Amino acid sequence: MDLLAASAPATPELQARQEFRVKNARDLAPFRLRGDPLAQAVVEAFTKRRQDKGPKLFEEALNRTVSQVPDAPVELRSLFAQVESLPDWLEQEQLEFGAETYRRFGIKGGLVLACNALPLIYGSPSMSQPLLATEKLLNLATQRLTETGRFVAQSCLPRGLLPYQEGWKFTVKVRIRHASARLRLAPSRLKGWNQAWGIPLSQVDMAHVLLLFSVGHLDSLRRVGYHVSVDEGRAAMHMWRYTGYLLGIEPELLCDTEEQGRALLDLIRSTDGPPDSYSRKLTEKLMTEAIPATILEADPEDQRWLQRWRRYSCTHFSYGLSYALIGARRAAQLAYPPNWWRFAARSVFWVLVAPIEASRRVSPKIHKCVVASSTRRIQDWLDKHR
Amino acid sequence: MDDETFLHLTPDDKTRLQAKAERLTQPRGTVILRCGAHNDDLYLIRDGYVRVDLPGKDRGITVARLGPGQVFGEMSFLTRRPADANVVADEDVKVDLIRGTVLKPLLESDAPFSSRFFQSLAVCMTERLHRMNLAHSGGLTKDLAALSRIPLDRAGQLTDQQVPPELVSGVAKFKHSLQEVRDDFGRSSDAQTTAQERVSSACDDLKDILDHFVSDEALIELSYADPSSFRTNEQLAVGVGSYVFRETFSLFMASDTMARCYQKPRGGYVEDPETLQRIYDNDPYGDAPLGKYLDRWFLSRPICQARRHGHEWMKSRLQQAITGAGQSGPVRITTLGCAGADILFEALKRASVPVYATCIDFDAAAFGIARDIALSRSCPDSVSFVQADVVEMAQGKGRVALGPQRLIYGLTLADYVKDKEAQQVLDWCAERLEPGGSLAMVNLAAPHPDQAFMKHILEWEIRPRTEDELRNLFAGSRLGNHGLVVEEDRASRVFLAQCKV
Repeated sequence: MDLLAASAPATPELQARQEFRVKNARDLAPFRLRGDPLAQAVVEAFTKRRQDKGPKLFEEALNRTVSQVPDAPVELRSLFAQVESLPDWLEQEQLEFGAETYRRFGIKGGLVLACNALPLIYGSPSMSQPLLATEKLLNLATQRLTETGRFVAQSCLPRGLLPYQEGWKFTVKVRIRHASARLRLAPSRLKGWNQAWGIPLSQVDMAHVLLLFSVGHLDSLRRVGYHVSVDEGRAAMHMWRYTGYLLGIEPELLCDTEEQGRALLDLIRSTDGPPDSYSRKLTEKLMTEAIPATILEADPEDQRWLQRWRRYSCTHFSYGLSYALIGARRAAQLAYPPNWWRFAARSVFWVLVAPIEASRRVSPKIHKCVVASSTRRIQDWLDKHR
Repeated sequence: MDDETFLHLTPDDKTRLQAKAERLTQPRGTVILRCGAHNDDLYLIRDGYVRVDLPGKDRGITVARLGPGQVFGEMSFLTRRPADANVVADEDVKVDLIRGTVLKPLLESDAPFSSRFFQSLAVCMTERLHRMNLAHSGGLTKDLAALSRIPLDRAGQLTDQQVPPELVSGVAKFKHSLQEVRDDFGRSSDAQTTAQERVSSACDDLKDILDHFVSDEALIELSYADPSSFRTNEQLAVGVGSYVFRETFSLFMASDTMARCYQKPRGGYVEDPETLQRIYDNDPYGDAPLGKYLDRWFLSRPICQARRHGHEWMKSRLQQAITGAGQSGPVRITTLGCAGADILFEALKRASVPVYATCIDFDAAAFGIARDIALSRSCPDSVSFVQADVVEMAQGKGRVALGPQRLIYGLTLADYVKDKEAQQVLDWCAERLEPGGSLAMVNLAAPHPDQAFMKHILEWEIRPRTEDELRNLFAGSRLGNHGLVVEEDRASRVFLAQCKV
């Protein structure tokens, strides 16, 4: 099946939606009340079937294409009709270039993402509450970080986001998981839910995360020494725009340029509430457990004191790096403990990254080696964290 | 002559008919029209009420109640077939008897009058048929049976990863505790003295575990245990409840009361008169060796306490309503549901003024039981049993003519109907209360500590309300809130509401 040829031409209405720019809080407000009707319909259809049927049908559709699953309900077919078809604005070369750009940042880039995007996500009360609907869900911090890492890693592998590739499958799974969570997380079930936030996992929340992973991440990478050219930035935004399309984010909230992305991100953050106790608990778990568990390669033969020291160092370095990236005010709101890494982490990172960046920029051969090496490391990490 | 029955008659027509009518007064209990009798006459009720009773095994079950302005005897008049029901004076009643021998010549000699007369009868009967059709199109109160059964599949709601280890160990501990009590009966002579405490403690712990794992927080945690399980919180709750149900069913069914509540021998309704009587009697019983202890535990639970408390409270309301009448009777009282019939019989025996009592329920079998209780207390004819769905009547689908009531009460109805239907019933009651009359109602309080146990183990679903919800119910109805007094019994978690108009 030649899926690359399956581009759906945009209707005039869709075109208008794609061109619409959300400029103020009033434009944004309706999106706080919207979820993802296509994915929601799939999940609701599955609740009416025998418990094992839904997951089985979904996996079959992901692995064999939905057309080869005769029992697939109409709701699943509708979802796959959307995610299988490439939007007419998608440029394959830009997609690949964007993926390559993200691969280049490697595992270090992953640490930057964890120290910048995730605390800012947790700092948003409309996102922290669904993540921490009960205290026990704190224990899932490491698992959540690993899954986030897998999501980003698989999305930026070569051709990873094309239909029925691993990145594409993972993204569609994430979309269904969001829909499944929306089913269970009615606002009435979340203590302290503010009606002004709309519904849990709304379009605004999803767009917020996407922007932190795209333009927010690019800006933080530049601050720690990575050079991201204008072209690379545009390609990266294009890749995340397509990812957002796969995740069911509405066209009005998808940005194609860094400038558009920054404007929308600033608007969303300006209408968000301050971090709350859930935010602080989630961030603490991220820094003290999840990041060390995910980043460090624990050797069971290491002495226990060494393991503790490494975790301790990783935690403090992460706090320091995050402080430098999210700023003193947000760090104070998230109750970051004071440590001297906040003065030095960014510089240390710079020292590690800048020379390679400088060489890469002058030598295409070095650039190629950097990309290849990062790709291998990402693949190894994925293999280890399946 | 009421416009409703003879809609198409002119005022002159009505005057002519009235002139031909014989005015009769029939004391309460008189069979005015007997089933099987040949009848050519029409009867028009001027004052008071009659009931239409079906004969045969549904002895004394009323299928209709007619009041001022309504007509009976028209079917046998038109079809010339014998009457197929008894029409009995439910109170002292005044009727206009229009004899066939007088009416027929009038009809034969005056074609326009005849046309209007038959058109009126046709419309009246069509209306009655329409109401019957509506009544059979889906009774809401009848659907209470469905409420008492869990609508979701019991199996297949939880994946293996989602069954919480603490739930498994809690249930195992419960079974182990009961097994130990059983074993100790054989070993030690004082085992029986401590058995009740041990059984009750084990049951309380199990109930607490069930309550915890069907709470919203626990269900969210369960859902995260297997993100690829596409189940709503309600489905997960049923999964948890079903696990406990399967593991403990054989133990709880040794309790007589719990077995009856689960079994629902009366067409799917938990609270039939017999079951309620067992709760009121509070005399534990069950299959050996643990049945009696389990039964005693259940009978001590808030749900059973609430029923007993509500029962006693309603007795006092009834007494007040009757004695409050002074010497000026009659007093009209209606109970919504046979659940309240037994206290009515007791009150009737002691009443010093005439009391016209009506019991409305859709369950003919419950009537049979209530009637037997009436017989045993020597008051078989004091209560009119009307078979009708209260909610349908409140929605205008059926009609039972009632005179102005001093008291209308419901012991269990509020715990089963949704807010919209409850308000419709309140509105219906408001239209039928005399000035100074009251509606008395019992409603379980939310959150109710036994709700999860009742739902998942006994398949007994209730709709408790908070005090605010109850007050809002009255406020949104024609009764309003002004005359409303709500008492709460905190131990049994029940609200006792009385609203005076």
